[in-house]
Amino acid sequence: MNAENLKGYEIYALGDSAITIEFGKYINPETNDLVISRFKQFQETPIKGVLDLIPSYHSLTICYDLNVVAKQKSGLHSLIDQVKLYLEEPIKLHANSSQLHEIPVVYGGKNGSDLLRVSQEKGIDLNEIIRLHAEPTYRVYMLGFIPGFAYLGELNSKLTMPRKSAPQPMIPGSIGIAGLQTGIYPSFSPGGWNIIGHTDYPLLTNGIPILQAGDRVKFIPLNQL
Amino acid sequence: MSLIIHKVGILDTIQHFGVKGLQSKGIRPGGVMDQFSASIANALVGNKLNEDLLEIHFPACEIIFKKSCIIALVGAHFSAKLNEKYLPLNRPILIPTNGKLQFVAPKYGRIVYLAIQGGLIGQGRLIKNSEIAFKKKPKLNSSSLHIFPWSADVDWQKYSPEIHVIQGREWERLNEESQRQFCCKPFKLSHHADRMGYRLQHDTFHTRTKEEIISSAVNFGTIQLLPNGQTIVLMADHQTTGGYPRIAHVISADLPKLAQKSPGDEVVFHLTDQETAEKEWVAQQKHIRQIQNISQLKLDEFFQKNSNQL
Repeated sequence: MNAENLKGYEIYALGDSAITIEFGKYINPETNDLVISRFKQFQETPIKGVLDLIPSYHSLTICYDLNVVAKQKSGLHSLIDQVKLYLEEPIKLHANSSQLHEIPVVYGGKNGSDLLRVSQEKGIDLNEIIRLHAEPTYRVYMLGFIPGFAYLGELNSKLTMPRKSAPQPMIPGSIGIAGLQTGIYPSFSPGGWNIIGHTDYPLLTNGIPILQAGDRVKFIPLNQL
Repeated sequence: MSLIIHKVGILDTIQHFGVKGLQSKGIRPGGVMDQFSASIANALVGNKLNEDLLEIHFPACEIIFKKSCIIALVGAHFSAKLNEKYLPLNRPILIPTNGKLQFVAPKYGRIVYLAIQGGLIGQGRLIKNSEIAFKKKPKLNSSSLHIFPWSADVDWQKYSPEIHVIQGREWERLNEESQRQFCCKPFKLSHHADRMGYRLQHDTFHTRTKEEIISSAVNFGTIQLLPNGQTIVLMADHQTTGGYPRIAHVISADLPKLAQKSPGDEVVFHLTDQETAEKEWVAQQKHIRQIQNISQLKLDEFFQKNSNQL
């Protein structure tokens, strides 16, 4: 990976009540390790007025109480200065528990209705798509979008697809691809990813997500086409 | 000691003011759509500003109060009636035992908040045909309706289309023409509008690049550009992260105003900066706290004078 990513970061506003620290431009395990480490650092030593932290692939978002921040001498700039001080501290790489989840998948058919279109658009044979999708052991980069939705990477670049132009209703267990990402919808929701398969693997217990950021996922194909 | 939901509304909930600290697990904060109206409603009945309360859309629920209590209605005007008498917005109201509250016709706005002195049990829950318990047993026992002779100034909640926004991370992706349109043209709110997000109707926006972005956090008020060139403003029940370009963010002080827009209503976006956003927010919060202080004084005064009759 690019060594600059280890030191370099960029901070931008996410509206008037949150800022995002971006640690890199690409999806890779090294950048994501940085995100998780900084996330833990801000969790362990909270800054006054911070309400929530949202780690993602390559960024960490800090949501703050606008009442508290607006009272600071120079408003948001005071908070950003404080954040920068935190980022100067050495990185403690937190050992990930990194559990491996083997997730059985039925590809194509009624619950994988975009597989055919992906095959046509990419000019790749159906079974080759299954092979390429099930080949890697994916990393859970982050949870987001809806409770327990795990963003998995990195998808083989041969399978890169844009999101759909408008979100569609998804059923629990739908396995989708978009860009260099793949993921599983844990509950009914609208979604814009291309659905290529389905799993019955339980993703939530009593509403609590099974997958954690840093875990690994291996898809086990149950069928050939 | 409760309210009975006599008839269910389409989207009525017992709302809180947002769950904090769970977004890293993908669990959204949720909470009231219009924090301004909800806080004023709580202030008027002498509650803490972020007490749980009813968030009511139209067609609304019908409520029977099994015990007299003090309520306030703030936000949308749905022609509220108690036993055939129209009730005003923005005032404390003493509801008699077995009073029946109905909302008969929407006049303006989208959401009305019903705060009850002492609060309610069951936050976040969609209201069904059932009883809702009071958090604290009301001490009052009145057989007649009493509308208190003071009201809150909610001028803040003007029903103008102007909504202020801050540029988003992916603002520069819009081409010049789309940026111009975004900043001054009136857009209509589409029928696809709920607690998760409000979609807008406008000419297709065009971007300088079609490059996919890496999914990252979004916020209440984030305006996402969908791949079909349309936009959606994320509202209270928004997802925690998303992968669509974030072209702008509605400032916190204007979210209540936006929340009250109904399908077909116009919005016009104006770019502003962080400093202005902070000032507007601080001024709005100050206004709410002033109403809270005055309400508390007036309520105390009223109860001292009338302690024998109630």
